[in-house]
Amino acid sequence: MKRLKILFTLFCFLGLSLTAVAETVWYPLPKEAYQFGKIYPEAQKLLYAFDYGHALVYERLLLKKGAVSNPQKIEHEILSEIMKILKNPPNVKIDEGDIAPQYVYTFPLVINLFDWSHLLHQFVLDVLAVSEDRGSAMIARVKEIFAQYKANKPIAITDVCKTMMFMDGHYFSKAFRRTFPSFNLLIWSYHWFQIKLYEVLMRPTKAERDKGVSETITKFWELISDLPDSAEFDMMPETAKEAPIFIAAFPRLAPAFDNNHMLHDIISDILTSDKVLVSSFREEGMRMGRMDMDPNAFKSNVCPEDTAGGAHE
Amino acid sequence: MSKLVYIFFVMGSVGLTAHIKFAYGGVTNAKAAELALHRVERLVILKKIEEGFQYKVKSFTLELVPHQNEEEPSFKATLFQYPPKDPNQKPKAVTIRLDEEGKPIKEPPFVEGDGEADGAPQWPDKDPVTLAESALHYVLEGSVTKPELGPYHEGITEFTVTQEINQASEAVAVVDFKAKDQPILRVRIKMDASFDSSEFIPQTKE
Repeated sequence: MKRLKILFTLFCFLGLSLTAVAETVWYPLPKEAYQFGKIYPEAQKLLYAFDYGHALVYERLLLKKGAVSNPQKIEHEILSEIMKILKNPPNVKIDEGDIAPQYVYTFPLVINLFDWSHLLHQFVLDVLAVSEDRGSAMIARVKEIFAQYKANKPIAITDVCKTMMFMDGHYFSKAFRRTFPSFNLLIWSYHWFQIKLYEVLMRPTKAERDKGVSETITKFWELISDLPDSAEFDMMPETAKEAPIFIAAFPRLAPAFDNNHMLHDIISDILTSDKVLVSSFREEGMRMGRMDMDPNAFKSNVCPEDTAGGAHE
Repeated sequence: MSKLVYIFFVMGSVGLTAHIKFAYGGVTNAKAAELALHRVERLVILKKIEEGFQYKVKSFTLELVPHQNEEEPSFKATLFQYPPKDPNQKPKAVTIRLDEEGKPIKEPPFVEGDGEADGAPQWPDKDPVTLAESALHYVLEGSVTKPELGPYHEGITEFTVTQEINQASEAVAVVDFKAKDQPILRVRIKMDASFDSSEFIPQTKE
């Protein structure tokens, strides 16, 4: 009986620690947290606006599921709303639960994966922004942050390269880009912007980095100036291609980011495809989220990040 | 005279070096083919070319284009629809040119042909362009662990997409890849775009 009690207590402790570890709470916060926004407020506010825009699109698609008779009209309407948000972006990160409650309720695992991954995105930007030079101290600091991210295994997206079939190889794939091409290219432009920020922040001097961030903002506005024609992406922008200097320094971060971006597209497809019933959303979201964490699911043999020296990091 | 020979030699060497750099730099043929298909998909989605280029596709050819620098057209990719009934009409085709990195050249797609595709199979799930893309992924990914796929990764010149019933009595897409001096690489892809099987078929001399 005593043994049973001990076992039970141990079991409870284990359960509690697992629960605690799966929270999307980064504790303690890195000392650099949110400094990027102080140095580059315009870029930071755009990133907040992207989160807002993503959640808004998902919520609308979810609420309008099965009632989209004129996708072009809906796309036009929501796009106008999003443009207003982008032009007048929030100063702080918006809680998705406030603007997209149905989406947050329907995709609990995916939300946790995105939230945790977005913290990694943010803190890497913060470290790159505040570090004086691009030397070993900065690289070590980013790696510390990445290690902390990965340690939270229940909600960490894998850093192993996946093939594009992870994004495009399901029964519901490509529905979003075919139905809402402008939304899709807007989201790929968001992804491009995020990736490009990492690349320009690798420049050696502060003046060059400032110029790079400013050029990236300008280019982003050009990309979305006349959607869908203005964004010349045939496929989701990939970190290896858009940020070669960044991946040379942090090879395993690139797949972690790309896998996050692919999951965004997958959720868009689930929400858009006629082949997925509303009653299956949660299950499919769970299935895809787990795949995104699984290093063996859709594992790619052709990983530029591996050749950049990150294979055994 | 000897100076002239020297100048010609130097110029020739420079030209040769440039040629080698550009021949081996940039993307492989299979990657260029994949990127060309992505462009075709985008053009169909944006209604710049007709849907037949997604759903009535029969074959694809890829030619290398001589070029001087990496941003010039380096690949010419053409996607053909099924031929029309009337033998006097040409099948519809769309041509995309790509630079050495596989980036499409900024120019309108070149569309030719005047006959409506005839006899194109029905594709119940994924379209033939997506299925061909999936077969290309098999080559692109597989060549790392299967060296016999290497010549197709490097040197695909054309492929065709047809339909057949496999040994499990399921309809599959059959994508036949050709590369110079190689047997045909036949890749079967299930209708949901997952891999079915592959084999090499000796090319018959024409």
